[in-house]
Amino acid sequence: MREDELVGYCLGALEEGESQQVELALADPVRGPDLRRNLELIRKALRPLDRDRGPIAPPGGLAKRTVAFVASQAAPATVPMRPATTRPAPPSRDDAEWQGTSGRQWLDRMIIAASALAACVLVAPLLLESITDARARRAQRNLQSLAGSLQGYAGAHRQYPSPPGEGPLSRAGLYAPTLVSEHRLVADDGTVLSPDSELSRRGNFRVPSMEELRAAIGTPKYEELMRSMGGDYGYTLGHRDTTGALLPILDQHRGHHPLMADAPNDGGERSDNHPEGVHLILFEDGHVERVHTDTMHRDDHLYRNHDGEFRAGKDAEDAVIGDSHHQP
Amino acid sequence: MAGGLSDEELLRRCRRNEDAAAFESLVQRYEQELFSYLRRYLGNAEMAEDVFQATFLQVHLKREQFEEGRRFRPWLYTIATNQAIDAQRRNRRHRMVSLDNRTGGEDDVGTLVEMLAGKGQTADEQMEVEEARNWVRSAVDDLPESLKSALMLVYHQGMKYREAADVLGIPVGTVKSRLHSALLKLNESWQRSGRAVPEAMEDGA
Repeated sequence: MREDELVGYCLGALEEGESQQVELALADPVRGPDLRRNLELIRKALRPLDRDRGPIAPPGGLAKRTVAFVASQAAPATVPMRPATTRPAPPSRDDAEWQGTSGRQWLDRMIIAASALAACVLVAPLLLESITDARARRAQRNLQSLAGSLQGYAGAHRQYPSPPGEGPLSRAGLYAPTLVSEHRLVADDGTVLSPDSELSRRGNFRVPSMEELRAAIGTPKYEELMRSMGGDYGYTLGHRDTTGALLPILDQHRGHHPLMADAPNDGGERSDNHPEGVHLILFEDGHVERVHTDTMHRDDHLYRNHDGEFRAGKDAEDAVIGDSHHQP
Repeated sequence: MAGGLSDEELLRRCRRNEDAAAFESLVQRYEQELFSYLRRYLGNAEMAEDVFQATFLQVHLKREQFEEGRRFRPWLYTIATNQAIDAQRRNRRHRMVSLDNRTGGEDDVGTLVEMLAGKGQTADEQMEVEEARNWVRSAVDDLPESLKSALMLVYHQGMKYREAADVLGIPVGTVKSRLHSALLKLNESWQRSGRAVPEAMEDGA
């Protein structure tokens, strides 16, 4: 009997059938004495933990505050329209007077029109900026969420998702099925989308499972899945050593080394995720930066390796972010 | 009225927008349990509250994606765990230093029974309860993330191995080995600290 089964038995973590098997083994005249001794030792090992057992009281009103918070955050993001009834009526004038033709009235109307125009000129860019900013923030949240999932994966596997060095599934976008369907580290497929992107607007995006991908090899659907599986974000193509072998993507906590970013368009110079020219880059240490197209390739081309190819880096410092279908 | 409904039925009602109280019932139902989990996971009450709220915001936003036939509790914990990891990353706390200081990973351990069998420690030392609790929290907090989450879900949240595997998206065998490794590491630390293994606690102690 394995020790972890005895631990599970102590903690009630086994299924009913498994627990019964343990009980049978404990009652066994041959194996029983040793197992019971081990069980007692395991119980002893658990005792220190008992010092911090039991629920921790939540702060008062947490549930109510949470419901209110969710209500405030989840309300439809509409620009509030001023109700017609709140429009200030011209004071002490009836309609006929308001539509009069005196010079004073014309002047009033001109002033109001000019004020409205000025307000539009001032407010419209701010509104646009606000919408743009909100979109970038949502995209940033998605990347940040993916950073957490990638970190979780790296914690368990001692490397980030790394595509195979060759073969039909050797593509950058394989990170998404790895996180979403294979390891279920991402609960929402939409996390790999950038808000308002074409894929996002279609409304039916789903990260394919590994089984779907394998089944699609050799079929017309294959190329489509390769192009879309990674969503709107590109993923590092890693780097190859001098023998040409693709190396596992390790978490070296480098704050300068990109791990993911807005995926490149077909031109490979910029991404189409943010029309305003902002690009988001997730770095190995988990922080996300917003950069502008003008500066994103300044030190090292984000989407090409040192040989100018959409391929894996030439060395450990040659970071290359590939679109979903790009091969390392 | 919502009291007798399953979590899944409450969420179904949230999805159909037919019962405004259903969401509130879910939040209330998990208020203590989930807060306890997050408080231990994050080691900070304020962060735990933020993540608690962020978790239920995600539940609300993703309610349409909840698959029929799936259980709500593991789904909730998956979201909460991911949110907690995100919060830690955002907070950029001391994790990297701590990780570097940790010895080995999941596989460099012996057996729990071997380690304890030869020690023969008597349990006659009375621990000051608060001090011991703080020590345990600190030691658990220093575990690698992967071991800590397995320990939290199985030991503190009382999940079956299978449920914890569902939450973490890993095989059941991996949960077993992670929990086992976590207990070994905690006991190594406990013994290195020179503390005696406490006597079994009475209920409610």
